Amino acid sequence: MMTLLKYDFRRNWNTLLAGLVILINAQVGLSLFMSEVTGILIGIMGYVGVGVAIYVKMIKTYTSNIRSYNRRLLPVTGLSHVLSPLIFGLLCGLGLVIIFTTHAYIYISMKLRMNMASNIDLSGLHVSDYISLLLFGAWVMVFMTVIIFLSISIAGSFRWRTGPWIGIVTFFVLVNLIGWLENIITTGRFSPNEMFRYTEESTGIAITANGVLWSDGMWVSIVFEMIVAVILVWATIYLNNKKVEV
Amino acid sequence: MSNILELNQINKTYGNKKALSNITLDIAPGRIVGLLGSNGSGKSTLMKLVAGLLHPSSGTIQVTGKPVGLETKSLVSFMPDCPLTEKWMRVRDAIAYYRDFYADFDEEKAREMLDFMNLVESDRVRHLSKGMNERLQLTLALSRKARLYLLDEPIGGVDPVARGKILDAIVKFYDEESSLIISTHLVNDIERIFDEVVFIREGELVMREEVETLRLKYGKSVDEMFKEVYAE
Repeated sequence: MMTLLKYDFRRNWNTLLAGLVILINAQVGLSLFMSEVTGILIGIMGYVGVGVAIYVKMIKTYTSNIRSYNRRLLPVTGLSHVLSPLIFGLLCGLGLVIIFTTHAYIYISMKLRMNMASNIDLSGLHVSDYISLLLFGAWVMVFMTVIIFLSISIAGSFRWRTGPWIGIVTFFVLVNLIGWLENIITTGRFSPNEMFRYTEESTGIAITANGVLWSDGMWVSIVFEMIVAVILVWATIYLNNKKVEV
Repeated sequence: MSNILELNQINKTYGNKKALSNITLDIAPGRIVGLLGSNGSGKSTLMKLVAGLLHPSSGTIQVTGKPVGLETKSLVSFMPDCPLTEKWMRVRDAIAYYRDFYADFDEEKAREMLDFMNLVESDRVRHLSKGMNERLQLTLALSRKARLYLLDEPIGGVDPVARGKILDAIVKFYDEESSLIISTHLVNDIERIFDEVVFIREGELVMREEVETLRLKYGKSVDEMFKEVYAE
């Protein structure tokens, strides 16, 4: 699996490197030439854009892997074909988070006088809250990716032109079905808005963690999603081995 | 000795189109078999089924007694009609790719073949001509110590000089303990290396014969027989 991962990185290396250079240049340019608030907003949008691009790259890597001769002929397990692009996406995402965090740290350290920073009180948040948020975000990404991978494999199981449409319909059906089941089994997935409490104070807005992330209800929800994810991965591997043709 | 390849009542359909119909075939070890047929006769489909890239609609395929799957991917070396390399690769990367994934890959043999084929390790794969790319693909496929080699149109679309070089390489570097199936419709150039030939027409196996028997029994070369079978 690690060897597959190595070749996923090598194949995408130039694109990743180019993306990194553009991102850094754009962020430096924004810091130097834009007003503070505009710069921050466009800067954050830039990070989100790169995040979306990484996600699309991961999906495209999976799609091309299950469709290319040189990958399908390799004597590696079906699980490796699923895990390799998933880990590729997670590592790229982690890299982006590290760059973003470093950037944010430098920016806040250098520009403490900035209005926005002085009006937001983050002292109520601990490192564990950030890590929890990161893990939660990573899990949501993994779970959605597993659903997308299965939808792609279902689409690939049909040789007709309608294959991609079947995949898209499958994706929406799966998302809604799983959401509905989750609502029945648990009290329902909570909204990310519930994770933090925003209070308006005389000095600005104070943000504190609600602590709902790792509550009992959330564990039930996450365990349910993990079980579903295992079933979906098994179905994906089965389809890749038995139905998807190159 | 047991067969390297056994196909039993293989059918393959694409929607309503029947690509292969009731193919039953076995290949013994140490044979070079020509899989002959005109364009669209089902040669590539048959090879992809054996390689595990396609799945039969019905019937069974076994390689050294094992059903086609993960295990047989280590036993079969397939050179399809399109490159197995990626655009970013240099020749040396392609060699490293095979070395990393196939335990039976013989790097020394690969380098010897690169020399023979006049390929340079630092060359970018995407800059290679079609003929040179075919040579590289053949180098990668034959440098494995596989039990069964499948070469799909190895000389299709290359000039006569490259054809000669590719055929010489097949004869020189082919492992005699294994079996080799070569699909082609360019019979004249390649018939000298076949032990036996299998004719496929419209997805059906119409003839299977030893090359020597063909000459003695019918007094015809493979090329002459091919023209007779596929006359329109």
